[in-house]
Amino acid sequence: MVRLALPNPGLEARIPSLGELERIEQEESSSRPKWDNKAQYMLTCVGFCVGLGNVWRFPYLCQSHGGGAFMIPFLILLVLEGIPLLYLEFAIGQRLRKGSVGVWSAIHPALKGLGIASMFVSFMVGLYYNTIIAWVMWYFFNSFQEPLPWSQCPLNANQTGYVEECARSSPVDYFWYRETLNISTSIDDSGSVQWWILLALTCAWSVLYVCTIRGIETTGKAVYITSTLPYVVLTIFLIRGLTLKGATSGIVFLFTPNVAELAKPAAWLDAGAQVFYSFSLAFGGLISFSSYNPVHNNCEMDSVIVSVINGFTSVYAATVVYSIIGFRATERYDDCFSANILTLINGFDLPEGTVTQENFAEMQQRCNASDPAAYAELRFQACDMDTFLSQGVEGTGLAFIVFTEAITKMPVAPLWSVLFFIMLFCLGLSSMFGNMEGVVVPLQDLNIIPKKWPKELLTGLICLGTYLIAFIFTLNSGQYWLSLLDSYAGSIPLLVIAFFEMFSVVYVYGVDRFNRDIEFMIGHKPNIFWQVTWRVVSPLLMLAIFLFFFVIEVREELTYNIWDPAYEEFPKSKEIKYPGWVYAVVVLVAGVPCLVIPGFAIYKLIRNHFQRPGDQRALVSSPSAASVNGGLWS
Amino acid sequence: MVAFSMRKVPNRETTEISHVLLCNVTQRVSFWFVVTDPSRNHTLPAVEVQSAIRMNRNRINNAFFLNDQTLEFLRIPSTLAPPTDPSVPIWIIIFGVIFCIVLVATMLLILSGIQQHRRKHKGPSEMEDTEDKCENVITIENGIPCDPLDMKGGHINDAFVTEDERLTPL
Repeated sequence: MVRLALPNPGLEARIPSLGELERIEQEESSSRPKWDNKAQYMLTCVGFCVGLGNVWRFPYLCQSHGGGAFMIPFLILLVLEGIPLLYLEFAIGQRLRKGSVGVWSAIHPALKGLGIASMFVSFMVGLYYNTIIAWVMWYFFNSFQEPLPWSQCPLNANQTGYVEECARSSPVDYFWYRETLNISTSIDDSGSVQWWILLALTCAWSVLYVCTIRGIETTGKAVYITSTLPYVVLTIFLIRGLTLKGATSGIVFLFTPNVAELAKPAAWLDAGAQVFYSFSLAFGGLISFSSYNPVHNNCEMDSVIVSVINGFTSVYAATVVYSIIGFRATERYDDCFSANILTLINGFDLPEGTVTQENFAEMQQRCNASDPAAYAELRFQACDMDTFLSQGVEGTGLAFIVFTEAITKMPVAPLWSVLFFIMLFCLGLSSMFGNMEGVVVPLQDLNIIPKKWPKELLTGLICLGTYLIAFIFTLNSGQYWLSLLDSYAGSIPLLVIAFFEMFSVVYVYGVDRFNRDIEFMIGHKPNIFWQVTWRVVSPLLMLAIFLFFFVIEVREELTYNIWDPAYEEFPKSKEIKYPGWVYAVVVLVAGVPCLVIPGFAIYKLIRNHFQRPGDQRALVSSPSAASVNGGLWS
Repeated sequence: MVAFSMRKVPNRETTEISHVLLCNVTQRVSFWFVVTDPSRNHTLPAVEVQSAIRMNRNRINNAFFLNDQTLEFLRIPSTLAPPTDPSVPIWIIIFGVIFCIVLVATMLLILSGIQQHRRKHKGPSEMEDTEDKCENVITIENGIPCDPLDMKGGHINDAFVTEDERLTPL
């Protein structure tokens, strides 16, 4: 058993002792916020963990890495990486009863950088995440009309046909790229602010402000809806999806195991990364939420329950998404086949209804036998169901293109559209609560903000500041900026922070002390499974994932996909390289949080070094003279 | 029908059915047709025929109870109906409703927060008032009221008359 513990003088002075904990809880009950009931806490944590990634990242990964077989690395890594880290964050928050900056600076003053890095990452992610929510709101506002605006192309100027860009791609593509984003052809080409997206962004930030205005006092009420509504909508979509034609082919395609894929390391690494990001670890929000709990709350049970719910939601959402994708693929396949049937009928003047999907091959042969010359002239499209099914898109493409197209084919499309976008909105908003918590509480802990400022003002200023910075995503090139931040702000820094978190708790705080704390809080010491994972397994896994990503990212040239109507292969997206200054942005966004950790430690060490001689001088005692009535006694 | 359409074109009023020639008629009701010019014995250019058909498309369709999707004239694109365009886009209405609700909720929360803040600040000062009142209550012991010390604000003790008054004023 690895038992090294780094020297940590003064730890006892910085943290409340176990005996004091219960007394502190009593005293703090009026000043420090706390949960109204356990359900609020669980719903908030589940809402923070379950986000848009469960709906649009996991199904894509599952399908592209071997279907049902992907469950194996996913579940293994969930148990070995996700749950231990989650338990660790819950327990340390509940024990030290502070937000992320407070917790890490209590463990060791040089670790304050860890809290600051978490705050920085929460801020960056919150910046672009809320823009996605703004896009969802825009689609939601547009869903209250029949027919849906993305179901048909707009007409061109002389009304003889459709707008060319739309006719060459598709109505859903056109609505997303042109009418929503009005996207430019490169990240250099910024263009101007799109006022409609700005309105949606304003609405998104105002809703977020209303819900987080007083911290968990208000979010605790909001999560009753935002955390439960997605499950209701998912179930409605599952029932609706299963009654559609072709849904089962999608589900079968999703879960058909292809065990050969497991031999590729990419599957395992993607599974590890997905588990990690899906749990919203290292943002600091979970530590904050857990610190509002009563001292003897059973955090072990909580972490297991939240992990299980998160895993279950991923699989459930994947099922729903792929039932709808199966429906869409079947529609496309049917359309393709009908076009082929029409070609055959037109070519050979056969009566309607004589050629169907079942006897198509037979009829083809008959026609070929009767008139080979005419048959050779006919052009048939290749209709392959698997191609349609594996047009697996992820991210915004899944929600705003594939799914919206599928919805337009369902009867009563506006209803399904409204439901779908409400679900995405709730998923995104409940994750934003955690992000806001991860920004507001560290700012309060850092003592930058005067104490007498009310919380409403602080939250308002943060929302306003982030809203103003998010204007960059309303430009024509906004979507390129967003994908840039998505790829680099929310990936490597989190891995680094999580690794240092685990290292700090196990080796700087001391795993023995941590075990004793947990025994005090929940009544029994963590068993051998937790010991092994905390000390050895999880850090190694995180290190492996980090090294893999670092090596891959550094070696690859940074490219991105653009929407360019002038491209020859339009409507496919064109892949071009990022301009040079983007590398600076990437280093800033991904490097600053990582470097803040050692940077702050060095700064602290230097300060201590220079202050200690000075301090000692100040502590030299001057002889105190007793005086009575102002006169000095010698 | 084709002859009828051609008749509507100026200068072609004398087109008769016999001037429309059909060819390549198939069982699935598709055919090629040309319109001949009676006097000059040549076929009319396609553009003219197309514009004539386009003008009367609606009548042709109605005569057969068909529409643009079911009766197709190759190379004559149909004039598409413009989509309904409400004066105010619907999404602005929905946005306005939701934004107003959010603003109202924000105002209410901020106001209630200010009220709570004021109540908390009035609370400690109210506590001090009650403490003063306690002191002014006359304590009664054994049925005899005790005079609290500072009740009357102090007596002048004549024994300690200030020296100023003994001296006669100038």
